[in-house]
Amino acid sequence: MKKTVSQEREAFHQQLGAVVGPENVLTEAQATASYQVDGFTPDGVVFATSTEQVSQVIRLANEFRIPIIPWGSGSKQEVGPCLSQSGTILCLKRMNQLIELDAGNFTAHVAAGMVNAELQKQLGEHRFFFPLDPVCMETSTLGGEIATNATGPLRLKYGAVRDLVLGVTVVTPTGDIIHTGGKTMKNVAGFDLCKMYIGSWGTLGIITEAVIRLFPLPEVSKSLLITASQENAFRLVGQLLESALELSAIELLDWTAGRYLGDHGAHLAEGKVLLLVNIDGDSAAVARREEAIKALAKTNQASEVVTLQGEEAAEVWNAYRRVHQALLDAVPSTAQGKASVPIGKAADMFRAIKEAGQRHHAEIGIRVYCGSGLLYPYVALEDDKLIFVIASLKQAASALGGFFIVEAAPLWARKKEGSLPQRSDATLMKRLKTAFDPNNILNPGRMFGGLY
Amino acid sequence: MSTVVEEIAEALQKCNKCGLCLAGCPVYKATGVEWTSARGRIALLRSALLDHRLELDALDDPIFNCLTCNGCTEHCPPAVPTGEIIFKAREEMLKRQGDSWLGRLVFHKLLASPSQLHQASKLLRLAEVTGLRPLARKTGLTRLFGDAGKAEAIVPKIPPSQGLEAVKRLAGKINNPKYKVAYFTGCHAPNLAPKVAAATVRILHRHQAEVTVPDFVCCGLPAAGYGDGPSARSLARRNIEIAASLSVDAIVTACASCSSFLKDYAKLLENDPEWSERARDFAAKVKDLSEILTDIGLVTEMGTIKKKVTYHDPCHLAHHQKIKEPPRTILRSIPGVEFIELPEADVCCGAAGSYAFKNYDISMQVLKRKMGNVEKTGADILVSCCPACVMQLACGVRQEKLPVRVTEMVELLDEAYRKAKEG
Repeated sequence: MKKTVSQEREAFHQQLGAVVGPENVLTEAQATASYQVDGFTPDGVVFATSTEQVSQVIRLANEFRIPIIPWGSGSKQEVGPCLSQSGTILCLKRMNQLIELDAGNFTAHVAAGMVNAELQKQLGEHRFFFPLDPVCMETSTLGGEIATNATGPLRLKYGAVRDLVLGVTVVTPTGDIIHTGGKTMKNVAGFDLCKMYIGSWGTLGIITEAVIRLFPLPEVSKSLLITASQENAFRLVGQLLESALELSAIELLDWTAGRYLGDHGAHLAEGKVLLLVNIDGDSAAVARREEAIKALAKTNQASEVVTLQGEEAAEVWNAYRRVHQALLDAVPSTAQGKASVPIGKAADMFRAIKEAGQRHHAEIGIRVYCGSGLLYPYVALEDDKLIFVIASLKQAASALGGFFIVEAAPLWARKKEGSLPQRSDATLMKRLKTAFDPNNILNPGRMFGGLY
Repeated sequence: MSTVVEEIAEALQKCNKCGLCLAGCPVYKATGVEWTSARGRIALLRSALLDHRLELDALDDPIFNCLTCNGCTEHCPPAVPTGEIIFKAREEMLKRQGDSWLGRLVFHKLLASPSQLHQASKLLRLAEVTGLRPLARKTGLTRLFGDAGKAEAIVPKIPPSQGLEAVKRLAGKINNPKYKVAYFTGCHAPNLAPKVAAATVRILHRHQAEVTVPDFVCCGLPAAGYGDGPSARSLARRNIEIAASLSVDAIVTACASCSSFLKDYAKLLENDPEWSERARDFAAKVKDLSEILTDIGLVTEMGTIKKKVTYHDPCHLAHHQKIKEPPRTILRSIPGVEFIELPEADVCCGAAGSYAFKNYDISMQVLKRKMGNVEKTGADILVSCCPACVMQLACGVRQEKLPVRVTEMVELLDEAYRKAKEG
């Protein structure tokens, strides 16, 4: 006799229990309902403690044809395209060790479930750091950050995830364990699968371990907070980026977003923006660069320049990271998107966003990763006018040679707008997903274009 | 829809599921399981109370194994008050399930009367001296505290005490008082830590404060934490009534939990038209001891205590009242003290009132992390300002065999003042 769906699930959970121990498979309502994603309640939550266990879980999932949704800290679960079906959550939270710190090679081998902030703490004890600082770093896991290709201000000097991750251990969608990349700076034979996994959003495999590049903690790190008009600030940004001042970060907050930066942005007038600049290195060089930045700020009529160091500087960056969430929380149903444009076009995109806001009577706060040409608008609109704003922003970004996508937004808006526009490589990517994941087990629906 | 649900509906909807709270949740850090975090608990309560996709009865664990330390709220951009929400959810649950006879005994009788509470604590001491404590456990008294059997290690030796009457005798009149204060002893100090009560009175005298010790009843926090909102409000009203007959500058307590909850009276009774204003007036007069000492100017004539000292922030002081600096200022001003900042000082120790008795295993995991941090400081003395914290920390130090003395801030400060007199 054919088994019912619930009998199938029960058998699946029982076999999962045999792999990870029954106490590491949660099926009661209080557990599953707290892991809801995109309105779906998973049928179970399973905790793995090793790559081998992850592999066995995936093999079982293929046998039972039950989708698996990988989970680190859940920081980016409701970002981008929605899941197309529910399944079982596979939590890597308990794989959280710093496996090896190889000081001589400037590398660390880290299990995917380790929280970024915890990793930094441990590296700091050895005078190292890992220059990946996304807004969610206090809680996000390294595996999640790699899988979602997270980015942060330090990218300007130290590079993106693709530059910082040397190798990954992955369990493929059919349950094979592969090691791609390694400890050396150059290590590709054949296709560079390691890089392919970065930003694959858990659709092509589950990253369980990574080898990452470390940097020695700089002797001095200073942050400058510069207040200027929108026009002057963007001119200053251009001059700073083309200078030899070797900034490690340069971020911009508009007058709406700046309000959430504590005392520093509390009194920001309309039309004024805040620039957060970071410089690090040896003390003499940092001091010299600080003066040069101040001089440039002055020639660009900056109204205020504040230099922060040590704990004060760390605090302002902490506050900066919280601005993202504060903007989302300030008005219910706020939608956040990302415009990616050529670096030199950031000022144009900024103006286009503000104009769209005026046209549709929406307050839009903006954060800009100046060094990457990334603009993050936060659109506070509670009704479907949001769709018109999104359409304007897509058009504006495209006209400037870039694109615009919706990241965090209410479910209805993400269902409608969460996918990328059709691209010429979409068909090839669909075939790639099928080749890797013939049973569509991993994170169905999460890739752009509603791919699977 | 009931009023409790109405009261928390808006707060529940404020959560955007960003998960920044995870960084501040000691329980989540120990378990890694979503439903033990603020984000998880809020999601479940939303499912049960707003979307009706779950029964509230199914959420016993998520509602009761929260420390209500407010560590989450500190990390939350819209400051979702998860601790408050949890208290309200407990109240709703208790209302639906009905109270136990034991709950009624503890919150309606014992904690509502200083003399009956003192009798009970004497019984506890009698049980200890005569080796009857295990028997007391079997009588069901400890059933209120689920894991109490395992948690026996946390309970300190109970010293002989004469209850509130002894504290009253110490208080008395002083010459040329500059201030008049009422000392809210809390349930713990007069019955279980008479030294703390005596030290508090002496310190207040040292600052030319005349001390009266009224017959205040329990602040109500244990009742609210258990979900018995009506008892908590009734205790609050009784205390406000007692305070009305006093002519004092401040109501002072050396217990972080008491000062925090007494200040919350304004909120607790805000929907009670007859009491809301009186509650606000009462709350405005409440001062934690560390707060009032630094406010009026700490007397710095002290003897030397040549020790390395570190400090653990009680949640009810650091998170609920945002009082972080005053205790540090006080400790730093003791001559000879080398103050060493404790890593993660403001992360809950896992005591959380009677939490450790009900959720022993999680509480011990949380405590273990705390002890690791204490060890890193190399301190000789670990100080806090909350009886539950001090009990829990002392248990941790015993278990980890650390060469560290654990003490209340008032005891150390009193020691410094007494040394000054002797010298």
